Amino acid sequence: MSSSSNKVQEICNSRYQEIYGNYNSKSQKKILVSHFGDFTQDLVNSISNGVEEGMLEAGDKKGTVKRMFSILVEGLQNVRLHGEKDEDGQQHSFLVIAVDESEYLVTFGNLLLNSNRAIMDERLKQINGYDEAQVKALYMEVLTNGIISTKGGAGLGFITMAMKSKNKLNYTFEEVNDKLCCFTCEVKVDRNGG
Amino acid sequence: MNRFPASSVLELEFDYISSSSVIAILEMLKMIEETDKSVKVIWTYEAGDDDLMNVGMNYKKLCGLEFEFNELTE
Repeated sequence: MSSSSNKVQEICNSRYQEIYGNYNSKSQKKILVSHFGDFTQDLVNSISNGVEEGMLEAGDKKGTVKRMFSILVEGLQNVRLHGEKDEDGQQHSFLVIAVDESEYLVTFGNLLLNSNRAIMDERLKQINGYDEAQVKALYMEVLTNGIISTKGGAGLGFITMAMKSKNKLNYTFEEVNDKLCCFTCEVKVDRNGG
Repeated sequence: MNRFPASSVLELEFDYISSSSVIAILEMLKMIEETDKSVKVIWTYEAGDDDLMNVGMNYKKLCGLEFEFNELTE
C-alpha cells in the first residue's frame, strides 16, 4: 500500500474507532456488527441476513426488522457502489451497528469526493428538513422522474433510509486530503416504533 | 410491437424491494403499458406490510395499467 493510501486508511480507521468507542463507552450500547474494509456483495448479503435473523431471535417486531433490513441494504449498496476509492483502489468503508433496549444505531462510513460534498450536504439537509409527508412527496418526485445514475443508484437510497428510520439522518464529513473526505451517516431505528 | 395474449395478467409478489429495483420495476411496467395497456397487474403482499402495499399503490399512480391488490393473510 502506498504511503498516501496508508494515510487515507489511517484517517478513516480512526473515525471508525471513534464511532465504535462512542457507542461502547458513552452510550453504553452493545456493538452488534462492525466491519472496516471492503464490502463485497456476499458480505452485504451475509450481514443483512445475519442482522435480520439476530433481530428476530431477540424478539424485535417484524416491522422493525423489515425497516432495519431495508436501511442496511440501501446503506451498504451506497457504500459499495458510491464509496470512492483511494489511489490504490481501496475503499476504506465501514459499518457499525449498536443496540440497546430502545434503539439500533447504524453508522455507514465511506470515502467521498470533496467535490461531491456540497451536493450531498444539500440533499441530506433537504431530507432532514422535511416532515414525513414531505419526504414521501420527495420520494414520489424522484420515482416519477426515474433518474438512474450510471452506477445503478436510483437516487432514492437516502430518501428510503429516512422514510424507514422515521428519524433524522445524522451525517458528518471529515477531510482526508485535498481530494477526499470521510463521510459517515448514522441512521436510528427505534425498537418500539412499529 | 406485438401485444400480449388477451387477458394477460402479471402477478408480482415480493418480500422486499430495494430502491434501485423499485425504479427498475417501474420502468418494466411502463414498457408493458406501452406494448399493451390491457395487461392487468396483481400485486400480492403480506398482510400488514404497508410499505410493500404502498410501493404497489405508487406504481398504480405512475402507470396506466389496471392493478388488483391481493393481501396475503397467514
